[in-house]
Amino acid sequence: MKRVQFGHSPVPYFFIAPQILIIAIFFLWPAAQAVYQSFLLEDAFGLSSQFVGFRNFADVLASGAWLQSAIFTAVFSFLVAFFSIAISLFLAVRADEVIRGAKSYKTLLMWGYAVAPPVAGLLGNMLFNPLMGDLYKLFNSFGFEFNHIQNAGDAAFVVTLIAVWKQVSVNFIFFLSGLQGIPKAVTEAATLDCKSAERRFWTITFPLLAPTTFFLMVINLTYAFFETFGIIDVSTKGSPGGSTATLVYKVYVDGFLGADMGSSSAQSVLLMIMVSVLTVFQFRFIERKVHY
Amino acid sequence: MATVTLNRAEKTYANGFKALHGIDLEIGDGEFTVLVGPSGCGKSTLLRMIAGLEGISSGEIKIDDRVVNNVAPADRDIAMVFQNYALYPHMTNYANMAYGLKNRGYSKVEIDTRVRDAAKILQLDDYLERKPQQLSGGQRQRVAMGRAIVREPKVFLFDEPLSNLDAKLRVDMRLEIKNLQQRLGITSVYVTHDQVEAMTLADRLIVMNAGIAEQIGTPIEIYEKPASLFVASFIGSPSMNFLDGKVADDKSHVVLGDGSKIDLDHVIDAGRDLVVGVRPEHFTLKADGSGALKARVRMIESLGAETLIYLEFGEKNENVTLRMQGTHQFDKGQELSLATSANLVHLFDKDSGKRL
Repeated sequence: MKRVQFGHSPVPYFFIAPQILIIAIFFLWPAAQAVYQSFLLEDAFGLSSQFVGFRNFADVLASGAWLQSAIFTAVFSFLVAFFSIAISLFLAVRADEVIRGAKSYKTLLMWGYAVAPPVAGLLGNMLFNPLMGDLYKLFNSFGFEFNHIQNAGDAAFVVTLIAVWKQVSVNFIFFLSGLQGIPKAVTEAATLDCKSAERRFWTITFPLLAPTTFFLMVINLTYAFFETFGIIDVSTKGSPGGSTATLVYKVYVDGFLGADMGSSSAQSVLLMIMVSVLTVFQFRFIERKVHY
Repeated sequence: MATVTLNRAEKTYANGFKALHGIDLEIGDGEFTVLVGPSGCGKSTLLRMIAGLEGISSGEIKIDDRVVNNVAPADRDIAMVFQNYALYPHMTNYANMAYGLKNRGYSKVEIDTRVRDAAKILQLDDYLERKPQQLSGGQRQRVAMGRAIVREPKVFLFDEPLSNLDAKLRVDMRLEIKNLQQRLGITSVYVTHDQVEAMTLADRLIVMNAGIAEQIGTPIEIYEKPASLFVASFIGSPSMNFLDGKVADDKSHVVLGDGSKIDLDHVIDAGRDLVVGVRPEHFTLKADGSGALKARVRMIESLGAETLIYLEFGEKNENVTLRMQGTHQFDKGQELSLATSANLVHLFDKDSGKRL
């Protein structure tokens, strides 16, 4: 059979060229650079470098600091994703039930979306400032002996709180639209079939929100991995003792502050691999349970 | 097995719109009641109030002898079939039917027997393990009916269940619903805007208009003695012909706009203005020209079994429709002579629209 050939016009390429260019310059090129650099060792002044194979990787994996950061990142990401999804789901379900003043509630809950991560970090910084921070004073007035400057657990709590707060509004918007996507008749049919509202939520509403929840899980984990950089940099800067440094933050500290480009590049390559594996895992094993 | 009683049931929405102006209704045990009316007449609101999906503003709704005004929908012992099926898309058809029973604490064995019995009645045996999206519209609606019948409720509520189906399937399902309801003998309330469904399904028909029940009766009563102009125009297709007229001085007939006369069989004040209603099937053609009404052919629709002839008469070109059995051929503009008999004529007051 003869294949039909249409005349190719160059116009489509012209239209996608800017996007391709942006991806190439700001993503593909730096990524390639990182992979290349991860095999090099520079001298202390950055004047010369030599090929060292996988030595940077071996050093990174053998160092306790990297492992500590990896564990912190895993726990931090899980907590951020879990709490920001749980809280926003609760708020969305409640806001969806409100009849009077629904618009005001929804708008107020969405406002947080407009706050940039560094600004959120700054807000957190002020709220937890030992001299004037209201939350700092509040916690201590309960006798918690809260001190995030010295105590690693408290510092982790601060960054997690800020990161969750920042993400709740984003998730809220998605959950609210997800809830509005459930046909009204289905909800009504359920009220005839099941008296308990709580049971109805877990057997009907939640399964129907599964695609939204899965999507949010993927983007929230990505958020916790990468975008919390701004929050951490403004609030704790990874202190005390690197205990609140996520892998991304450590890449930045080692590479740009410590000027160890080889190790920093190796870490970012490892991070890339980890995120890819995580994403594949999510789609392979969790998405199966999702009904679209 | 139950009765449904409504006492002065009213519904006013938060924005002040009054959807129902006090409905009084008694639905007998095992009766199939159909609510029919144009969109916005309040028929769905009424059904949803019985279901408990809408609150009641004033009045009383009783199922058997229990006032259910403030009873949760799940506790009213009713089951509802929705227009767009409203199946739970993430569950298999089996789980869809079992869901209501499971939440009411039935045993697994009991649920299984009931679901399989319902599936057999509805010919869904082979589809139980599939999900609703894998079924056709008609099958989905059957699953929705299965979900209702496994519950063995006191009352079935149907909210335009056939509107989403294509014409042929609608006829099949209509028969199936009627069959099923007679077999199970469960009190049913059915909402539709389709008058064929209304006429064929109903033991009792309630014609609604603008939040009130215009007429309640058996389909044939309503067809033969419509209580108002609205009911007369709504029931019957094509719609009844309405001709403006005045009662003649000797009270024996009505004079129409063009001077033609239609005989009367009951006594009405002379000179009174009224509307004469004649169904298209109640005109007969007089080949010898002896009919009371002379009208010109405007258009013809041949349906095979019957022919619809649209005519106009008088100087004002008033429209009349004639329905004849079999096929007929007329020329456009040809003058036909129509006759009717006094006992087939409906008379309505010109101002109130009420039957005289």
